[in-house]
Amino acid sequence: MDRLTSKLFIPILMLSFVTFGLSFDRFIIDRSIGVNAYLIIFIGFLITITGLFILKSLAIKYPDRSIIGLGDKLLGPIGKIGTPLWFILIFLLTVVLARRVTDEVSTVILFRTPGLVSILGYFLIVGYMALLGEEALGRLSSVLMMAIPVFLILLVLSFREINFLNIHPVNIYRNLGYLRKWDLWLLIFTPVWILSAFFGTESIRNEFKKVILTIIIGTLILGATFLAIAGVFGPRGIERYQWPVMSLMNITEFASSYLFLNAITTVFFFVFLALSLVTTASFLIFLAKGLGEFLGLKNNQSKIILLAITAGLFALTAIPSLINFLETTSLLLKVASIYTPIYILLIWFSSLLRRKDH
Amino acid sequence: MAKRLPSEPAIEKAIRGPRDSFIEDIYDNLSFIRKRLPDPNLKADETIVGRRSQTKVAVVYLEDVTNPDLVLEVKKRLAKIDIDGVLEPGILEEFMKDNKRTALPLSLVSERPDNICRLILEGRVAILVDNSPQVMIVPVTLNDLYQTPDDYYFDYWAGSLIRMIRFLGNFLAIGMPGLYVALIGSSPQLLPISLGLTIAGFRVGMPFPFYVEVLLAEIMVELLREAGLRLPPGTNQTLGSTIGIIVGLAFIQTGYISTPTLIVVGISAIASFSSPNYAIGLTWRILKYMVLLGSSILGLYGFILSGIFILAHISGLSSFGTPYMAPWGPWQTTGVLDSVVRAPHWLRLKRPGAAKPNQPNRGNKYPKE
Repeated sequence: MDRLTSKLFIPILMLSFVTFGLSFDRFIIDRSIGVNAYLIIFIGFLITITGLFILKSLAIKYPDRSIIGLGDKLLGPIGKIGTPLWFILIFLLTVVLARRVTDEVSTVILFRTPGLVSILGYFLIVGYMALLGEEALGRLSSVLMMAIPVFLILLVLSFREINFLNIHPVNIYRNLGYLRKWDLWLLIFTPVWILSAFFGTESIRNEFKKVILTIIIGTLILGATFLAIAGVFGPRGIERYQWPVMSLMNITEFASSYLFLNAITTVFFFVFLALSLVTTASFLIFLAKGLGEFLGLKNNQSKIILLAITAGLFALTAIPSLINFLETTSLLLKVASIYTPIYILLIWFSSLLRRKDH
Repeated sequence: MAKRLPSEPAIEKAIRGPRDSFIEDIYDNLSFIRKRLPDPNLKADETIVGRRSQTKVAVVYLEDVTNPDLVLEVKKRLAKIDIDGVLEPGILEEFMKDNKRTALPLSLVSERPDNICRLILEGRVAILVDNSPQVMIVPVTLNDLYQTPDDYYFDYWAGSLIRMIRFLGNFLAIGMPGLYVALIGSSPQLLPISLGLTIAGFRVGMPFPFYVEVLLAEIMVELLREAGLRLPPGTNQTLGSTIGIIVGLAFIQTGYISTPTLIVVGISAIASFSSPNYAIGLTWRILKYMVLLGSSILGLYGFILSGIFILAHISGLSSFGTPYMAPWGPWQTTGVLDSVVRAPHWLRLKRPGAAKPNQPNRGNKYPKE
């Protein structure tokens, strides 16, 4: 099923990919994965690119079906269980994402306001954005793409603070232990898999080069950011910060003027919040429309599902203990990021065993 | 029946360019357009709307440039209108809107023939209503509401500067009171210490919280603005400014409103007039209160959330199928060349993609140096 034109899909893909990656930087770079950890982003990248080729072949073979429909059609009973499980994992991933952003709001801006209020505000806007639909979200993303240079400015300015002892660029071949943790890096590519499989059918079929280029640019931005974080803080230092990207800003000391520094921090926070809202809304649309399609509901019924999912996300995000559990174990993040490619791979294998669908 | 002679536009004044404006007769208005565009492809399809008023309505477009689907859609929406009387294009506008619940204007109304001809040349459709000196244009984007004929008559440097000032002015008009409340109320640490202390010093002994202060000052400005429109010409300016100064001073001296609040509200009020389109200016006035409310409840977070809410709302709008956020969302290079910056005429070789014109190229040729 065709979802979005590439003009609208690519901005959503780019923003979600970059924002999601930056939101989960804390979980990806830690001391357990060594000083050259940032290098294995390439493993995640190569796996994702391969996955996009698989999605392309599916989009050509089944031009009128989305990944949800294909799961149901090609996998039969496995699809009946596999798709809802996928929804549950993405649902929980969305909860963690929202909680990470709203926790930061409570720390930086609203330190005297109950966290519940900032979570409510967050989901009211996300729910509204999702109700407007993917086309409106694509247009909004297209406008917000102009904010990407804000990240790049931060990056460029932070490079001068890098301590090369922290990243050991000459030690690449001597210490390959970090390669064992390649699975962690799939996490940041999760939006690419989900959005490409669900919204990007048309773009993958007709504008594949543009999609690949978007992923390359996004990977370079994320890779450079992780390099800067690891270089500035060191693998052990990262543990001190809940939001290494935000802390990177204060460390760089690029502005001597207090007002200027605060103005830049506010703009950066605005940008980051806007991008996080877009990412959460795109996941929400995926959940609502995907579930609607899976259950065979009509469009107006999907809107009810969307509201119900938004309420569910809010309720779950507001439970502090659950989030603590999710964050400390990190198991969910691993499972969700590995499950998505495996499920798509399963659909693809199944499609190879069948004749072309006319 | 006696007719008014064409006079200088009352609202859309220009430094350069023609001084005539539309009048209340539809055929005279058509002749103003045809005089500027004596092109055989310029079509005017007449129809009647309004059961009792039997108002003549003309749909004007360039047959070879305008997208036929757009013309068809305009005619279809006009045909659907079943109303006792049409006295002004504003009534048609409400019936023909893509989104009936939005406060944003999804069409452009102009009293200048040169402005309407410029938009017809871009492949848009003009709707003329008898007995009205205003002509409606569809489809439009938010960007179109910031363009004036002056931008094209002055060179592109001046045109671009004026545009940037307009956009900045609108940002200040919507965001300044909200940002002030957010910074003072929840995030004073973001202000330089000296500025924060100065504002705090002015607020010592104030009986109202700062957001009530801002609201009071805003209501005062709104009342002055509305009263200024109704006062007899000649006295409105003198009375308006005198009352404004006296009441403002009285508020400060009695200690109901602090000086920084009055400065912020004053700048916001002046900035709101930077918009060349009155309708969009009115909408921003409404949205300003929404931002103010968000900032009062959730501080800087509320300010950011309301800003994103407005952006998302605009992104969800369309005018006759054209994305209202174009040329930025979706990105349209042809339109971006005529947005915040007005590119030179020799670079604007293509028509903006907003109206999906049949002939994307203007066909202009510029001599090479």
